[in-house]
Amino acid sequence: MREIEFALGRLLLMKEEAKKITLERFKKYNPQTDPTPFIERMMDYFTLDPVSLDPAGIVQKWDHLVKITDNRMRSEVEAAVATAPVQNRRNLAMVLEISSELNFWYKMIKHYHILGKKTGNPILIFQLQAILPDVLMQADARMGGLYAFAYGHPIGDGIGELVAAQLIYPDEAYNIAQDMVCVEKEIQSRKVTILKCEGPGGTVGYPGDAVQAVMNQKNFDLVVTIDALVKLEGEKSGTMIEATGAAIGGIGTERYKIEEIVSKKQVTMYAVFIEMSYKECITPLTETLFKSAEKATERVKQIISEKVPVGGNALVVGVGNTVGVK
Amino acid sequence: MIQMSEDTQRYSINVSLLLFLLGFLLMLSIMLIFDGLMAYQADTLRSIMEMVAGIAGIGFVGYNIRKVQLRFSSLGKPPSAPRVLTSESCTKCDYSNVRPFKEGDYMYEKSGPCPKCNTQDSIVIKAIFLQSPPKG
Repeated sequence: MREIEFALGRLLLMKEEAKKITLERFKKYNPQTDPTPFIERMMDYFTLDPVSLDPAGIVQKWDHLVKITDNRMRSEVEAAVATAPVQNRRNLAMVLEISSELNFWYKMIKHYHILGKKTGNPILIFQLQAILPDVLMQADARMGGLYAFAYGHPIGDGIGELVAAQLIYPDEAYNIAQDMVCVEKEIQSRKVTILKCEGPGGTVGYPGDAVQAVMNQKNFDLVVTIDALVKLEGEKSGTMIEATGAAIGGIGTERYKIEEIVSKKQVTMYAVFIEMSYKECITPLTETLFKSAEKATERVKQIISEKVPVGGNALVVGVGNTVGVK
Repeated sequence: MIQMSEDTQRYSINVSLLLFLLGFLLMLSIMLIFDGLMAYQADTLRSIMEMVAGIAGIGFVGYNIRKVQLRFSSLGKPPSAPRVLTSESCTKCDYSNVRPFKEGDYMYEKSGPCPKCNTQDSIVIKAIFLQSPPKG
């Protein structure tokens, strides 16, 4: 029981620290207004899961709800700090999201702790005790992520975006879908379309919408997606692994959209992953991971030259959170 | 500053209560040992039992105080802001520099003229990374 109380104390500390940082960041861009009521309101904000009794059309429902939540968060942040630049507003929305997650975890653990004491149910207490180390580890990683978004540091999850940015540089990208940019360039005599999120503000964008938009306009010989992958314990950070399919996480709406159009057009689809720990995923990029991104960029070029005929079309999609990456 | 919440206050009260109880137990243990020493001549068995109980009490108090101390040492420190470095280089000459991260830096940002060759907007941020990797 005391272990749970300790974990609760630690979660409370992190939740309050997150709230303090969020307050400081909002005050920086709007010193005249006290953002406390706004932050407290947004920390309790959540999205209701759609009903899945009839699963037909659930992806569209999820997609709609995710976009509504995203737009709501952004409009609320925009109203609170109207003078802040767009990338800072996006980062603030992410900071708010992390504070909200820490608040939710604290409330959930507190709920089961009180319930366990009230009912005297040892199974409930054992279950809570079993998940506590994982919850604390994730909360600790979230705190690292909070600092990264507060100051705009690129994070491990943005490694796919970094690979795309390395391929794009020094060209300028144009907008193709909400939060998504595109560049067409020639790499080793192949026409390569590169998609990534619009940086440097923190966003994961909608890669599915962008892939559908470009694939409806043009035929491709190959689609390559690059993303971060949470490694298994004992594996080395920065290891690059390849797979068949779409390298994209999240609740599955974006992956569904990519898989749908790619299978409809019968295009070969490969994935390149860079492995890292959960903590590395949402904390600032390490030097090892940065070097792995450079290797992954070279590997993507190699895949294109091996699998796409000269003069053919390839689509490269950088996946992840683009905070700190243009 | 954020006001201390009701939960924080409750948590502090719980810890204070624990320390009070441990203090009480420590006094009781010392008294048992003292009593045991005094009664050694009259009733040896009772004296040994009292001294064993007293020593066990002191051990228990020490163990719990150490546990509270360990908890507070990790509880008292929220994870701090990491040290991040920015690596920039010139696109026209061989100039490169690694400096502490400044708010507003981002990868592939043109960050000004080159101090070596004086070319305008030729310095580009090529990498931003942690000074030391995270533990865990």
